[in-house]
Amino acid sequence: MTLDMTMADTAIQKSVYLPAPRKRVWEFLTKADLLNKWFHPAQKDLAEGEDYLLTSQKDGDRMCWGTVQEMSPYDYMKWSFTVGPMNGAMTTVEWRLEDAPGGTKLTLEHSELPTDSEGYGLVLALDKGWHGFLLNLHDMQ
Amino acid sequence: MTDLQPVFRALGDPTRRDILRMLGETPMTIAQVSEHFDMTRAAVKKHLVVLSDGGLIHVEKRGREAINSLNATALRPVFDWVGWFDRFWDDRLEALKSAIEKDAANDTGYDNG
Repeated sequence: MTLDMTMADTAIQKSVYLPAPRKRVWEFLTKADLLNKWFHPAQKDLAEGEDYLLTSQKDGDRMCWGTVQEMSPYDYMKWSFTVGPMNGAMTTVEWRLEDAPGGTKLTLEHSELPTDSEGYGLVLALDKGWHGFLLNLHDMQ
Repeated sequence: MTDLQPVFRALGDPTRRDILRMLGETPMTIAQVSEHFDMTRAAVKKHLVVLSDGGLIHVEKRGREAINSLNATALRPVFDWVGWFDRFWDDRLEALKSAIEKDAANDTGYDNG
């Protein structure tokens, strides 16, 4: 687990190496039938400028939703993004695809954490010392 | 879901975070806390009340004095809250990886089991 509590690094960043070419990975990120396989059921294929809604496999409730703000096929995609616990506050999710030997390096960045959700804004304001303090707490568990 | 608002409010101020750090090292009276800050004892007391409302400190009466100490377990829900997004993406990316691996195995005719 990582904790990003300073203003400078509030983004969550993750990369995975995938055994498929960028085009195929792109399809997994944008086609409804493929999104179903790893994310949550999508109502339709994602398209630039359009809203998306992913629902729960279990009960059909909405899981995450937002707008596809930018699509640059096989390289880059940007979503506005929110989930239930955020009370409607929007964040930004960016996907980057790069060639890797034998496949694709996919990088996710979840950033622009909102200020219109009071609790979240306060989290962002937590300082570096606090970060260290929580890690100490974590070590005590 | 736990109401996080009191604890976030308590944590939303740098002075209160400093106080917490100090109390994390050693329990202190209001007077002892006040020595570390350029503010009145009344102002420090107000901060301690907010921390107490958020459940972040214990206040124990000892004679005429009140000893303030850190209640670290109250931080757990904050920790969980922030970690939620991390776990969300960890789980999703793991699912993507395994879906693509299966897909790739199908393409090449390998057994995908």
